[in-house]
Amino acid sequence: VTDVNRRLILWGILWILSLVCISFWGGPVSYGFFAAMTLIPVISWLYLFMVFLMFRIYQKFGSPVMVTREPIPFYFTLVNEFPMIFAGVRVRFFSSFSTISGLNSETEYELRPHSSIKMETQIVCHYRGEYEIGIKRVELEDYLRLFRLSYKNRDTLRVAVKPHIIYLDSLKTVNVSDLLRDSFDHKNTPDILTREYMAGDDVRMINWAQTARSDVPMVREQTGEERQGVSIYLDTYRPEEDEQDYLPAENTMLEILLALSWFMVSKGISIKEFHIDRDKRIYPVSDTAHFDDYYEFISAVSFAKEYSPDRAVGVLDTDVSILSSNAVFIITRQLSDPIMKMINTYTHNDTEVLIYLVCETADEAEAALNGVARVTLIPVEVDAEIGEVL
Amino acid sequence: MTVFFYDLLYCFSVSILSVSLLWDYTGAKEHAIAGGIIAIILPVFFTAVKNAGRRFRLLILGIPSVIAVSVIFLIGLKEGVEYLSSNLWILWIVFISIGAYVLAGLIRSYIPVRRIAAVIIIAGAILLTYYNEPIKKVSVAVAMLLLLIFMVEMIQRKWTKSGDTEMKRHVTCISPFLLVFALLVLASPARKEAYDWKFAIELYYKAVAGFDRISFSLFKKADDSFINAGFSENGSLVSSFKNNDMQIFTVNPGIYAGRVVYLGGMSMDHFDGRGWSEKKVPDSNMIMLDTLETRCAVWRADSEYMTDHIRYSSVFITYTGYYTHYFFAPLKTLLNREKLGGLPYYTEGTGILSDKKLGHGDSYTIYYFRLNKDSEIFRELVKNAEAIDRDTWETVRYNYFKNGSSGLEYEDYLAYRDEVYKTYLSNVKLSPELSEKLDEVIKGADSDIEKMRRIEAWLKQFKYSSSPGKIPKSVDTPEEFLDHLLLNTQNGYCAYYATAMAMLARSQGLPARFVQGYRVSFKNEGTVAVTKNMAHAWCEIYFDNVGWIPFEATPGYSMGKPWEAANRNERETAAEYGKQKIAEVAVEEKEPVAEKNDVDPRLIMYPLIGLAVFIILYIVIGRLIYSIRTARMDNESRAMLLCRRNLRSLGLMGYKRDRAETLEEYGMRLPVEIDRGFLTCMEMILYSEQEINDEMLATVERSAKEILKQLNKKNIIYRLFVW
Repeated sequence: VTDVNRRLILWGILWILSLVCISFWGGPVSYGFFAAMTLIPVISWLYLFMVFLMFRIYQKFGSPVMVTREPIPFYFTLVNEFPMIFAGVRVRFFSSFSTISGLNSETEYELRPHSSIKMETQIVCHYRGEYEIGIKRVELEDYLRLFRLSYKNRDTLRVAVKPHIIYLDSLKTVNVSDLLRDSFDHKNTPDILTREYMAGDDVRMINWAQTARSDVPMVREQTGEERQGVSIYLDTYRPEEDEQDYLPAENTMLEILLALSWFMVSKGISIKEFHIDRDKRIYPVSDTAHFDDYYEFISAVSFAKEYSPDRAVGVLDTDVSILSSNAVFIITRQLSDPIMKMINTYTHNDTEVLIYLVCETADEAEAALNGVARVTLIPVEVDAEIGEVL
Repeated sequence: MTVFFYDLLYCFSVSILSVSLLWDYTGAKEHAIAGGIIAIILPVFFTAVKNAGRRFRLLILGIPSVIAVSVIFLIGLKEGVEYLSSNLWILWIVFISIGAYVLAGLIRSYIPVRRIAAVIIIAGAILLTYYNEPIKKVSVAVAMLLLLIFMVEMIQRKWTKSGDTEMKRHVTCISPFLLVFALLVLASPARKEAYDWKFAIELYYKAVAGFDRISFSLFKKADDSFINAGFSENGSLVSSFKNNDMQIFTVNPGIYAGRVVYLGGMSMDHFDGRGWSEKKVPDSNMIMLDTLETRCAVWRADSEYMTDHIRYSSVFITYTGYYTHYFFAPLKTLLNREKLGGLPYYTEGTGILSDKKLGHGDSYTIYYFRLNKDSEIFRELVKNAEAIDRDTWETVRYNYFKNGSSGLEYEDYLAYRDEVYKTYLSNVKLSPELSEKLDEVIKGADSDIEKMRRIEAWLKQFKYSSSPGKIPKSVDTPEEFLDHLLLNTQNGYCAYYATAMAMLARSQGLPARFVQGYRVSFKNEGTVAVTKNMAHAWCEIYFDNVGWIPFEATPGYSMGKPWEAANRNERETAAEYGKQKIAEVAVEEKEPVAEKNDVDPRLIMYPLIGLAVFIILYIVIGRLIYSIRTARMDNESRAMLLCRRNLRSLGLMGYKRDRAETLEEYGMRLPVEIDRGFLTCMEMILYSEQEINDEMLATVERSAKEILKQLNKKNIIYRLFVW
């Protein structure tokens, strides 16, 4: 039984007692007692209603850009424009996707007439996406603490939060030197195709064994097509409808994408990101100078139930460059049939496939991929620290 | 101001509570308005004196003092003392207010005192209620206000919260709601009697009536509630019945209705020894024919003093928890209207019925002639009643049915009489033992009415019981029933004795019938709620040329006292009424008041002198206080005092400084003729650590002097507010 309920019960008992009084005794005392007990809640609710009408909240953030995990200043002001006192005001914050630091949401405030309370704190958004943050609900209590009026904040703040970039020094799951060394086809072809060195040839291309044998500088002859860095496929299919379910998972997927992308680009490996939204989106990045644009592009990626990976399979037919990547990173939440089909297409083209499966358990996926060559499965839990997993 | 209002809230409440509680002992009853004003003003005055600054405190104390002194001079000290000694209530109120002010201060300052006060208020309220002591509503409202303030403070003290939680401000800021609360408590109704929950009972009956209506519609049981309401259409004599205090209708008696009204629902004519039954005669006009017959008998016998025998009266009936076809009506009802309470009706035998099922909320008025049945004069009338001739009948009938009426002709009346004898006079042969007993009872009676009165009195000597036990199976005829009741058990309830009375009347050759209905007695004037417990049965006996007359044979029951017939002497007295002398009303002679056109000069002079003295004292004392204060100050304090005074003076001159305005901005706004030198010094005092030297002080003093000069020019009165 809360304090409010306890007081309400006490009032109820007194009110019943007042009914008993007027039933047995006449006169101003018993009727006055009854009137008082009846009027107490009426006046309290009247007071609460007036406070409800006059109470104002102003809130703002210290930065126009919101990025997950990065605390930004958060200011809010509780304003009393009423000539009476606000006896008890409490504010509740959105807590599912953001955290306010340095504030106890249980604190109640009293505001004297025509006054305000300014609070300065910090807010951290946990997930990328568009959602409401800041003050969610307001609770008002009357001066007798009999009733509590709780209502949704009328002026909530809806913000678009960008994903956080995790700057990795190394990847546990991928040998980068392999990606660099194997930038060409015919990696298994015997090293016999050489020719004499000509001015302008890259010194690094000299085949020293042949040179020793022939006493003439011999260089390797490049044949075939150069592999085009790595491709990253982001599965934008959204299986759930509840914000609470899909926002954390999508945030993790985007963090993996950005971490991988930055890592590759910073190592000089060009990447080609592709995903499905209303259209087929392919975004190539070859150097860090263009990474900011890429980041903005990724920040705006949308997920939806309609964005089935079926359509992504078609991309492979139309864009051969993706197939000619050194490796393909697939970031997905489930190994659906289209994804499996996509994996098969890559593996048949001798392309290494790394799957980042964002899920709670990867047992089924491991079973499905058991025995499939050139595929590596990396399960990532929704709330995992990306830096540690990758 | 917060502290002022906080103090005022307490002081005002305690003072009003004390004065209102002790009001009756102060002798201020006849001076309610003046006393009330004093009781309201004094707390405000005391609180203002406590909280005001020096200057205003002087004003607040000075003005009343001047008024008091002026009044004393005006009327004279002796007269003033005499006036007060003859109006001690003023002093009482003043003393109570002073006491209340001290008490309010204690309550305000000390929590234990507050708790004790709360306990005293609650205990006092309980005791006053318990002992039904008179108390004013305003006392209750203020007591509730005080308790609420205590509660608010207690809650605030225990409430952990951030922000401005200062107690006095908290209470002051919510005080408008507390005052609204107290005013609403004051405005709320407070009856002397305990609440009757009429609306809840109404709702209950409505629900019951609704249930009856639905059950009737569903199961088509005619007048189930009629059966449950105390009697049944089959007239069986049951072994016992239970009490039921459910209200079924209300009766509002009209003038001359008397203390008791018998409302008949239906009558029965045939008794088989175990129960009654009725031969229903549709549209028989029996009720109206009976009423006309009685009216004719009275008119014929004593047309000049008819009200000695019968009185025209009415009852207003409203159904609450009933659902039936029957209208309930007294004997001798006048059915000369097409509708009863806007409801069409028809008659069936002696019953008045409605096509529509009557239920909650249906109401009607019945007009009837009340019989002075137990009066000597009426008995004489019955005894000596002569046959009603055609002329009499037509004359009386014309009074009520001027446009003619079917079924109420003289021939109909004659046929009705035959029908009465045929229907209500069965051959009842008493057992020898009972016959012997009855002979003893009626021995010496010289008329039928006298015989019936004796039988009625005899039956009343038996015992009344609501559970007389089952009638033996051997009882199968009216005669056997009479023997069983009157010779064996001598125990029964109303239906038993009504039956016995009817049977004994028939044994004497008088038509008699058994009537079921309600006996309603009025203890006081006004509406009476009729419950199922009031269901009753009685007997009506037909007397030739008079009509049906009710008899109450049930032990412990009575038909009410007869009213006193106006005797001949009274009539004579009434005739002489006009000769009576009207008492002379002495006209109070008013003493001639000497007209005074001259205004007493003292009326103007003394207040003016008082005012002048006050102004002089005010300035002198003010100056004195100022000099004492400034003499002990250092340069900075003195300069600051002067700067503030300058700002106040400029404000009075119309150059008030805005809250958000800096001193520099303010100085730029001031007109050139104002000496602004003091502003630099004020900035220095406020914003720098530099000491104020004599030169700076002199600058400020110069500015002050100049500003005061200009203030004097602007309005000398303003000078009163600036020291």
